[in-house]
Amino acid sequence: MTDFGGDLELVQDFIVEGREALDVIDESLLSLENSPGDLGLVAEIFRRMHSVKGASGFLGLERVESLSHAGESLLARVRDGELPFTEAIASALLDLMDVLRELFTVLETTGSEGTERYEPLRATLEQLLGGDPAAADAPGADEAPPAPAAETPASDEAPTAAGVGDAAPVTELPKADGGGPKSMIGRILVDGNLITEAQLQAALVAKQGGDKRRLGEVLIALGYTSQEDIEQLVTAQLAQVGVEVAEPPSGTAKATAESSIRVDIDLLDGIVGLVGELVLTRNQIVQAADEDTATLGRRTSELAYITSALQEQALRTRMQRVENAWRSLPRVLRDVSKVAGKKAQLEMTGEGIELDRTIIEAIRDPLVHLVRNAVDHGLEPADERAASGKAEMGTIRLSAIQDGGHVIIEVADDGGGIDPERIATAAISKNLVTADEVATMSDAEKVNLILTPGFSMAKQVTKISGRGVGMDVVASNIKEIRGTLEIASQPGIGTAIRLSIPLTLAIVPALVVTCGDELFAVPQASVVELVRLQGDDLTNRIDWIHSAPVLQLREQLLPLVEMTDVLDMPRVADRTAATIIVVQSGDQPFGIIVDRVTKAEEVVVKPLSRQVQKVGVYAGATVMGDGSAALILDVTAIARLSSVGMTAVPGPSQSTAVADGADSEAVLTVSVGKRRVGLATTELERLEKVDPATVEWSGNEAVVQYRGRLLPLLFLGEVIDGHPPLLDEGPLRVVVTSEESSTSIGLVVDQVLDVVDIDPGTADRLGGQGRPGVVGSVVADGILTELLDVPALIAMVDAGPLLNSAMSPSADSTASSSDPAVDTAA
Amino acid sequence: MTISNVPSTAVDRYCTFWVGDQHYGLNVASVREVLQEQSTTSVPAASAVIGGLINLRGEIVTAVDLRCRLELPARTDEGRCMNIVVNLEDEVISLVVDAVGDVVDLPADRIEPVPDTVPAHVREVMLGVHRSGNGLIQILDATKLVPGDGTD
Repeated sequence: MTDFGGDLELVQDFIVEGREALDVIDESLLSLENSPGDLGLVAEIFRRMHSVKGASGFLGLERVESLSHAGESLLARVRDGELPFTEAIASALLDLMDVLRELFTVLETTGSEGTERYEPLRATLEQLLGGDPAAADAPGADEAPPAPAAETPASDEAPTAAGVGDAAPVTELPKADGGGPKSMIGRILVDGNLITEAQLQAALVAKQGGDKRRLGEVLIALGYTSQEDIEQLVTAQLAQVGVEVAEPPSGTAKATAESSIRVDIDLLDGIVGLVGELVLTRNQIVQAADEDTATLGRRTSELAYITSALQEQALRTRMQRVENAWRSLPRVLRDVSKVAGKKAQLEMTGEGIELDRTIIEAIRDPLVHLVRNAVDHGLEPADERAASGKAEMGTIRLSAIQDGGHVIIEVADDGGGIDPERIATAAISKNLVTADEVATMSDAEKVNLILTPGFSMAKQVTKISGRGVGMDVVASNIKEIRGTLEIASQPGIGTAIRLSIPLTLAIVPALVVTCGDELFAVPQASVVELVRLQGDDLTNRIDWIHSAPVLQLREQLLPLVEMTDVLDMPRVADRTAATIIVVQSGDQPFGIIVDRVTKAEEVVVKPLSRQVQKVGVYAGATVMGDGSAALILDVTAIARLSSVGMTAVPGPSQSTAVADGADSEAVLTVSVGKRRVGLATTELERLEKVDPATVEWSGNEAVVQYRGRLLPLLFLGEVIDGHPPLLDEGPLRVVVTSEESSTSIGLVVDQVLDVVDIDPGTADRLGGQGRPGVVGSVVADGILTELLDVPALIAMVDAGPLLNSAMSPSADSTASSSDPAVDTAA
Repeated sequence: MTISNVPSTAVDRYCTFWVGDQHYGLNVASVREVLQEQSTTSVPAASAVIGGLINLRGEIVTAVDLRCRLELPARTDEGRCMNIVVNLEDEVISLVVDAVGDVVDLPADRIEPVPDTVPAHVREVMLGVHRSGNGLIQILDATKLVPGDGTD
């Protein structure tokens, strides 16, 4: 069939779902290889293969159908215990998956299945089946009872295209013959004497007439049978073939169809764009509202609140977990290991980090190439490893961590490492560099010569990599998403390839800073803390080591740089006050001196032209509330330029452990408006949900009856974020503080997020910057989290309404010398 | 002023402008729009050719100071300037010029090569020269106006 006409959409849907099914089958096959006795897995794979086959049959895709049928039959034998799940079978089935993928692509691009019949694969499959070609051809009666795992209406599974008496997921139309041996549920029920043949026919007729429910549902609706009966019967059937129904198949991913939906990407982009514009408008209104009445102010707060919530939702739909980019890698590893004759295992950490989908798409292929390289060139053959005292099985470690405004993805192997001299020699022989240039290079620079276009270490082009288009293509792919690639290696120990990708989310929380006459935005994710120095502090706390200024910050000496110096701007003369933005680049914190931080604002990141990007210190641009353009600074780049805190080139295993054990402090993170707030768990007693209707008001004070006493409530949203208590949005989330040292109060927050461990050393006390109640800030999960001083909050309640009204959020990050509770102590 | 009576030959349409006393032209195909003076945010640490950033209806556009790019002497008067927004392959830039002239049609085959005596830094951005009325219009290549990637 070449022209699908009106069915084109059906075929397209089928291909999309089919590809997903193939991916899941791939993963399951790999898991099954590791635990061949897992019948649950076998059943799961069978089920998916069966759906693909069924749907393809309905659409008349002969090749897909016959090939998947062959695979299905093979699996059936394994499931029935007739054949053991051998490596040969695994390989054949994995090859089948690849072939089906190829067929899908051909189908997609040409509209037909093409002419390739894939005879070698068919032959292999038949051979494995035990040389019974008949079984590989006719989908027929031998399928009857075991199939029900796919058809039970009782289980809420991913849509299956099981036989065509039931609703096929793609089309929902029953096949013309209305049943026959393919109507599994019907057959079973009749055979099990739960319904009569006449009843079955009646139901099938109803379905033919356009009823889109599954057959089982129709039968239940017509009153011919009941849910329990069907379940019972199906379980009995399955028990006969030794497959358990209740447990979810072990080791396989939960069907994504159950927990996610597909959204048209253009629609999504439209939403995200609209949200961006909304954020800008919001910023503009906020600016205008400064001049106006309290009502306008309140409306603005609400608008701001809603906008933030909307923006977060919208962005999240675009985010995908890093593991989406890693999904195919176990399979790649397996294939490469076999071809290269090496033993390798894959370790993955940090797969939960979320990135924008465009980035995920962009790094997929580079990662495949890097893993291939690592196995092919990085790892030594098993005997060599044994001889040098290493484990025979090589390890490829994939990790993803977030570092300020970047995500660092590392592919590390514990192989033989890269010999800088060898690379240098090869590069010279390829005329990529001269011997003189090499003489001045460091080892690290020599190793990075691999990235020069035209370089390839393979003596002959291997099947896997080594076409001379490898690493430089990877590097340029990464460059396109504005990331960087670095190679670090130690001969004998291993190699690590580090991809550093900037998180250019469309909208980031930032701090607006002024420096001289200019205004810039600094992404909050890069900021560790802010230190405000005024008057004498400015001279007292800054020391000079020759010409290098440093700040005494608690027990540390913090190197400082003047923003004006970094940006080639004239120095600010006669400073009486300054704000130090403490940032962290790698392991080394340092401070950037600016005039002041005027506010915290969410900004829409817009790309810069290549020319401006070349300057190197700007991460993007944005439009401010007054319509003017502003530059967003790239803190890491500034660090590098000022030669402060060079990130150590890592060895293959880099630990990023946070202080653990006795030194860490557990902090409960909650969201308040668009802010993140942290509360030391030692000060807390429990979390409660309170019905707003039970809150009693006395003027501005709120209390609620709680366990036989009156619990005063403090709405953190009002105190910190300036938005009024939302009393009609469902139960209030209240964090009750401990009664141990003082009155216990209830802190009303928006959402309780997590408990994180914080190293008190990095949890910083704000100097001269503090609002009462806020003792410091820390970065948790890349988001600036303000730590609240619970005793201070309690004191607020004790002091009554007067103090509450003094907590104006408009004094945000601006130092206010009239603020009575300014904490200037370090 | 320039629709010639020469029959048949193809014409190119140019947007012309002035920087100092020099008259230039850009093929309209690459010109997106022409604007008045715009509020510009300066980009510290960038080369002087980068005049700054402009907010164009939400899009951030880099402004290129043509006077600087063409190494012409600094302006002596305080006159206003105009912006010619140009579409390049993968980005949009705005050329800051002194004044905008007419849109003219010039016969394609009448364009003359750039004389060798013209300074190199100008020659590299010019496609050719047209005679027009009493003067010359120097036809520029928009893609070369942004300082090249070669210079680093």
